[in-house]
Order: sequence, then structure tokens, then C-alpha cells
Amino acid sequence: MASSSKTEQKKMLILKSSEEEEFEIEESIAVQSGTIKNMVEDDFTLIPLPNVDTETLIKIIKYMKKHGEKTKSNEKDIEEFDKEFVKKSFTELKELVLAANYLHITSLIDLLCQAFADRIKNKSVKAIREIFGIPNDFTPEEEAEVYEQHKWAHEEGKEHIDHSAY
Amino acid sequence: MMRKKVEEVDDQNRPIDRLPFDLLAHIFALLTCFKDLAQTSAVCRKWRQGVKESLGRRERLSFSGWKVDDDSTTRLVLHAYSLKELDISRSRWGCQITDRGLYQLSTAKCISNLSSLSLWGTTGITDIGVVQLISRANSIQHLNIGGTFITDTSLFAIAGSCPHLKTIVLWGCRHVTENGLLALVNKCRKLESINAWGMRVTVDCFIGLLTISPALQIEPKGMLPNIAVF
Repeated sequence: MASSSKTEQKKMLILKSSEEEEFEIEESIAVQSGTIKNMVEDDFTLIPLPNVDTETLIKIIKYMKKHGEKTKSNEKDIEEFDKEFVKKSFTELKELVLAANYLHITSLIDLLCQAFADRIKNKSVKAIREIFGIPNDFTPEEEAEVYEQHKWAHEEGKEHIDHSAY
Repeated sequence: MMRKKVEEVDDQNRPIDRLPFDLLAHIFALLTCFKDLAQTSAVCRKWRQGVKESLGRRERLSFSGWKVDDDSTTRLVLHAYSLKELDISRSRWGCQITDRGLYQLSTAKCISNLSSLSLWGTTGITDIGVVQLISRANSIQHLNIGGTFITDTSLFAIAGSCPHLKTIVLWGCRHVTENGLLALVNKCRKLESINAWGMRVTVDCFIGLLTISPALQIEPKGMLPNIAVF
């Protein structure tokens, strides 16, 4: 029933978001996702993605299309694309990394995790909590213990740590 | 019409809490600075656990430049199960690592898988601690024990325990003699280079070493006169 992949016409897949919107994409590009690749091997052509909303799926498809065109000559171009790609709000990045994780797109997971790490770098604990919206759930004793264990890491560099969240 | 200024949150969870544990660990494993790791583990309980988990994925750990001691070093290395490269070299606060620290480190699971180790400039350690640690570091390929007070005893231990050794730095190891070097070169058959600057060893000794292993590089280049070995 499934057409041979050796035919002239490129094999297309349909990806369906959690909001039931459908997007057509070349199979050769879509299989950058390990999850989709597995489903294709099981002869699926309509791929339902109940964990990925439309907005996020559009961005993921954009990423896969760009990285699907990777050649030796456009490496710089793709680097620029990646740089711009992570310039998003924290919520968007979170949705993207969850989707990339579910879809098993290794290069995208790495890119997004690095973006998160970059946002944590050099920030004070207060600033990190503010940026990521995390409440402090340590008891005072636990908090003192944590600081005691890492005292040595605070003794390098400036006395006053940056508390601003930017 | 009032728009939600704050990001949407689930009933119980804050946004980032939705990130599964292994993603958090992946992110934390990318932090290169210890201060960042320290701040991160002070954010909340889940993150503290995430940092511990991420330590288990790290392949490289460097304490160089940090004011660490036996306990703080050991605490981190004990969790770093995947470690391949460990750098405990001297910081500007002087050496804080002692034989006790090396003894504690020798019990860490990762030591037998380490391929690279630097104890450069750690003047507080002696043969006792080094032998303890080295006898477990059987996969070591690159070893830097320059600037320390080790003697031939440590070299005999290295010769006996590190069959895969490729490079060794013995910079300024003034207590090491010809005997230690001979044992090393005789037993570590994969040894490619020795950094011997500042050692109290004669040129004849090096000629002897090159006779055993003609391809051996004695660093730094130019330290020895041109020696042709036929």
C-alpha cells in the first residue's frame, strides 16, 4: 500500500498538533525527529502529536526545515539561524524543549538546553528564582546547609553578587 | 481586558517544574563555572537534586582556581560517575588538598575510568596519598604530577598500575631519580612523552630511557642536546 520511497516525488508526511491542525512536511526532513522516524518505520503517514501545540509545532518544523538543508557551505548560515532561534521568551523555550524532548530531536534539545544554561550563568539565586518563577522550598536549616557546602564556590570573585533579574 | 502578566501556571507546578528531571540535569551539566553550580543547587530542592544528577553526567571536572579542600572536592567527585578528566591543580590560595583527600578520592567509582588527572602544584600531598589514588587509576593516559614532592615511590606505583599511560608531567619533581624513570619507561609501554623540566636527572639517564623507548619524547624540546640514538 505504501508507495516506494524510490519514486521521483518526495514522500510527504502530515503532522497533527494537539489542536488538530495539520502540517505537510517532507519525510526526509521530518525524520530528524527520532519519534517520527519510528512511526514512519511502522508505516504511519499521518503523525498525531498530542503533546505539541500548533505554535510550537510551527517553530519545530521551521527548525527541521532549516537543518534539513544543512550542507558544508551553509554552516555559518545555520549558526546564525540557531542564534536567532533561541531569542525567545522563557515560556516559549520551555514549550520548545519539552516538544523537542518528546520528538527526540537531539540537536534541538542540545541547542535549547544550552540556551537555558546561558540564562542561568552568573545570576544570583534570587535572580534565578525570579526569572524561572520558582519558590524557595528549603527550610532555613536546609538553606544554611546548602550554602555551607558551597561556601568555597562563593569565595571566588566579587563580594556582592548580582541580584538583578535581566 | 486584563491580560495575564505572569506566565501561565498549572495548579501545582511553576513553569520550569514541568521540565522532566533528565532535561534539568542536561541543562545543569552544561554549566561550566562552579559558582553557577553552587547558585543553581541553592534555588530549590528539585534543582539541588538536579545538580547532583547532572554531576553524574559530567565527563570533566576542574577545581583549578577554586579554594577547595579535601571535603568539598571529594563530595563532588563521589557523585561524578561518568568522569573522565579530573583537574585538582593548585589555586592561588595555595594547595588545600592533602593525602587524606587523595585517600577519600581513591574510593570514588570514577577513578578507575579516569583517562586524565592533574595534581599539578599540590604541595600538600606526598607519596602516601598518590600511591593510594594511582593504584586505582588503571585507565590513566595523561597524568600531571608536576610541582609536587613525590619521589620514586610514586613512580613505581604508576609503573605498576597505569599500563595505558601516554603522557606524564614531572615538572620540577626534584626527588624523582633515574630509578623511578627507568621503572616507568620499562613498564609503561605506551608512554609517548615525559615533561622533565627541573628534574635532578642527568643527560645519561635520558639517553638510557631513549634506548629503551626510542620514540619517547622528552619535553620541553630543546632541553636536551641533540641526541641521536641508533
